[in-house]
Amino acid sequence: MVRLADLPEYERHHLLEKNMPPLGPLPWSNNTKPLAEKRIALITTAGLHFRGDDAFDFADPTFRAISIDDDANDLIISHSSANFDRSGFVEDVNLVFPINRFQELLADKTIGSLADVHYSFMGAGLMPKVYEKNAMQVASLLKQDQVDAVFLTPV
Amino acid sequence: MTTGISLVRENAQSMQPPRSLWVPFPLGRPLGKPNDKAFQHRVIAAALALLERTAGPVLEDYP
Repeated sequence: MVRLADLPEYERHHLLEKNMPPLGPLPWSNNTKPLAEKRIALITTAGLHFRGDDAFDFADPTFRAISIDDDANDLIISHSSANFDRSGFVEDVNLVFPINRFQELLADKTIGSLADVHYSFMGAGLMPKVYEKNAMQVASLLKQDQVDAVFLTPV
Repeated sequence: MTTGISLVRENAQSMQPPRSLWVPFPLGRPLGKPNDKAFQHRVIAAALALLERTAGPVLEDYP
């Protein structure tokens, strides 16, 4: 799964409705540094945040910051879509936000460093363009943190 | 630069992110299996390998 041919017609149709053209010219960056020297950040659209943070609204383009100093096992989901299985996240946060996996990659020097702060958006209910302002803000924060590459996870 | 996981191949094909790894896992499970470190690392390694590509957009299927 998720091969669309394996899904019921209504779900296949719903997912195909999300096909969009590219948002603009290809934002390509050439690789100038080996992975072992790269500073990596994680960004997810899973609607993750800590219990004391504001929950995401039903259609919400904002983001939440996830500090490397906080315990990712304390993250919760407030994603508005009912179309995906959350039980895996409940068992293991790394299934949608693989922070412990990246900490292991740091420990064995596969990557150079991890960002101080990682980010979650909530990827439902809005057209991609609505996220632009907040995405640009996150890009600026990543640049300030000297992040070289971002690992993106959907749900 | 970015690399990442795609759960719906058709969406990635149409939007053309710079580097994306399509995975055959259910929605809600982009890294495949909970509590399976080795499995998750294989998925991550495949997505990180796309950072080496010199031209895009890149959309690869997780083997």
